[in-house]
Amino acid sequence: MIEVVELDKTFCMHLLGGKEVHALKGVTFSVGKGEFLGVAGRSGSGKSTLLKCIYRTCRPTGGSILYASSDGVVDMALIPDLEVVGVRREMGYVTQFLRPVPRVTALDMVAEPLRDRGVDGVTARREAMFLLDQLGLPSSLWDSFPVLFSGGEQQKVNIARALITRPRLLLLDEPTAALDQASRMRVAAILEEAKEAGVTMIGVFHDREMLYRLADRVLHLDEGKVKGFSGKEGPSMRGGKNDPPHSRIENMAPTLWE
Amino acid sequence: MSVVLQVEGLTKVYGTGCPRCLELTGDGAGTNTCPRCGSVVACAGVSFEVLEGEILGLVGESGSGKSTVLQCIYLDVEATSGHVRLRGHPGNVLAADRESRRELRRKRMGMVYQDPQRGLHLDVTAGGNIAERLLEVGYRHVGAIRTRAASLLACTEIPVERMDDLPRHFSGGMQQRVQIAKALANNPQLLLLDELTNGLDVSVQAQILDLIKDIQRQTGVSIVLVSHDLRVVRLLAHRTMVMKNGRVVESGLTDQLMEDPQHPYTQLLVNCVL
Ligand SMILES: Nc1ncnc2c1ncn2[C@@H]1O[C@H](COP(=O)(O)OP(=O)(O)OP(=O)(O)O)[C@@H](O)[C@H]1O
Ligand SMILES: Nc1ncnc2c1ncn2[C@@H]1O[C@H](COP(=O)(O)OP(=O)(O)O)[C@@H](O)[C@H]1O
Ligand SMILES: [Mg+2]
Ligand SMILES: [Mg+2]
Ligand SMILES: [Zn+2]
Repeated sequence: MIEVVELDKTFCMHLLGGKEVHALKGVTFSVGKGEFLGVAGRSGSGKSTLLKCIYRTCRPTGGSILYASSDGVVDMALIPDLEVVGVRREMGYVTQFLRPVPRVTALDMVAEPLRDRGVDGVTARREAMFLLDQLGLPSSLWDSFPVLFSGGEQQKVNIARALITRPRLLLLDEPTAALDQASRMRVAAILEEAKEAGVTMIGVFHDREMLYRLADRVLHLDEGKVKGFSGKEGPSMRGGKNDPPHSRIENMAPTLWE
Repeated sequence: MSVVLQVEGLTKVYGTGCPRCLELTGDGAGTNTCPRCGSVVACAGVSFEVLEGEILGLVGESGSGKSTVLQCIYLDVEATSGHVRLRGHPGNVLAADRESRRELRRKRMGMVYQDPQRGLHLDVTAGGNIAERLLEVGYRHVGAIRTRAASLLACTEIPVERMDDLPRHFSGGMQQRVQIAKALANNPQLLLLDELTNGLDVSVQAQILDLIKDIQRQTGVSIVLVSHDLRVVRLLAHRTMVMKNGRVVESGLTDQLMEDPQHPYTQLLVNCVL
C-alpha cells in the first residue's frame, strides 16, 4: 500500500541564520494493504514529521513515498500540489493537536470533510453525530465550539473528522494521548473495526498498551533513523489474522464500515 | 477538476521601463523599483491556476503586487505582458477586444475592491447598485430585478428593509456585504476579493469570512482571495501564494505552507501568526 524509500527531511530555519534540523534520515519501510503499522520513538525522533511527509503537509527533501492510490501508484514526495489534493481525499489524518476553527461547532467541524466532498449538510451532520456518539463525546457539546474544549474532547473531534470520510489510509498521530482509559478503549475498538474493514493504518502512540494492541508491526525511530521493527509475539507476528476476536464495546451501533 | 483561471507570466511595469527592469528588481534585488530607470515592477512572471470551486489565497506585505495581479485579471489596468485564460473564453483575456472585455467583466468575473468607493456608487441605493449589474446582464423587469436584488442582499445578510438606503450611510462591514452582493449578481465563475476585511473590526471580519465560505459552498464559484493577513487566508484558502517585491516567492497547499514554509519571508510570516 505504501513504500517509503530513503526518505529525508531537513528543515532549514532561515530566521535562525539557516540552521538545519535533520528530522528524517534515510527512512525506509513498507506497509501492506490492511496492515496497522505502529510508530514509536522518543520525543523529537521524527514520528510526526514522517506522517506529515506522507500526507504532504511537509515537503520531503529526499527519497520517495510510493502510495498505491485507487488511481494507481503515486509518489507523494514528488507529485504536484493539485494532485496531492486528490490523493488526500482517500486519506484520513488525525493530527497530534486539533486546530479548532473559531465559530465552527464540533458537529460542523466533523461534518466539514464530507461537505467538502459534496455530501449535503443534513447527511454530513447525521454521520458526524453517529461518530461523535461512538466516540463518547457528550451530545451537549456537539453544538458548542471546540476552541473551548478540553484536550481529550478536541482529540475526539479530530478523530471523528478523520474517520468520517472512510479513508483507505489512516494516519494517526498520538490519537489517544489526551484521552482517559474508557475513551481509549472506545477509540481502540473503532480502529479495530476500521482494520477489519481493510483500512491501512500508520499510527504513532506513546502508550505501549495501545501500540501493541493495535499494531501488527512497530517501526522504531531514533533521531530520524529507523532503529528496527518489532512485532506482536507469537503467530500473529505477520498480520494478526489468526488473533482471537477482540472484546467489543457492547451496543456498538450500526457499524461504520458496512 | 477543471481549471477556471489560468495565469501565465503576468507582468505589470509602471513607468517607461528599460531592458534591465526585471533583472534589477524582485526577491534577490530586494526592491520592486528599477534602480536604472525608476520604473515600478508591480508584478512580474506571476503564474498560477485556479480550479473550479477552489479558493486561492494571495498574501504578501503591502506593495508586494497583490492588487495589481487582481486588477490586471479584472482588466482594470492594462498588463505589460502575460497570458490569462478564463474557462469558456477563447484565447488570451488580456488581448480581448473592447466588446469582449466588457462581456468578460459583466458576465464572467466579479470583483470586490479593498475600498468600497471603487466598487459601489455610495449615493445610489443598495438595491440600485445591484440593479445596475443586473441590467448589464439583460434583466429588464423591475419586479424580477427587485426580487433578485433582495435575495442577493439576503444572501449577504443585509436586512431587506435597507435595500432602498444609501451605502454611504452603511457601516464598513455592510458596504463590503453590498459589494459582495453586487459582485455575485451576474453569477460569475470567478470572484476576485481584495483585502475585503481591511479596516473592519474583528467580529465583523469573522462574519464576512464565514459569509465567503458559505457563498463558495453554495455557488461553487472559484475565488482569488488577496490579503496581507495570513490568518485570513489560512481560514479560507485551499492553496496559497506568497508575494514579495512583485514576485511569487512561494506557493503551496495552505497547510503545507503553514507547516513547512521554505522561503525566509514565508517563515517570517508564519512565525508572526503562530
Ligand atoms: N517546521 C519545523 N521546522 C523546524 N524543525 C522542525 C519542524 N517540525 C519539526 N521539526 C524538528 O524535527 C524533529 C522531529 O520532530 P517531530 O515533530 O517529527 O518529532 P516527534 O517524534 O513527533 O516528537 P513527539 O513525540 O514529541 O511528538 C524535531 O527536532 C523538531 O524540532
Ligand atoms: N497606478 C500606479 N502607478 C504607479 N505605481 C503603482 C500604481 N498602482 C500600484 N503601483 C505600485 O505597484 C506596486 C504594487 O502595488 P499593489 O499591487 O497595489 O500592492 P498590494 O496590493 O500588494 O499592496 C507598489 O509599489 C505600488 O506603489
Ligand atoms: Mg509528534
Ligand atoms: Mg492592495
Ligand atoms: Zn528599468
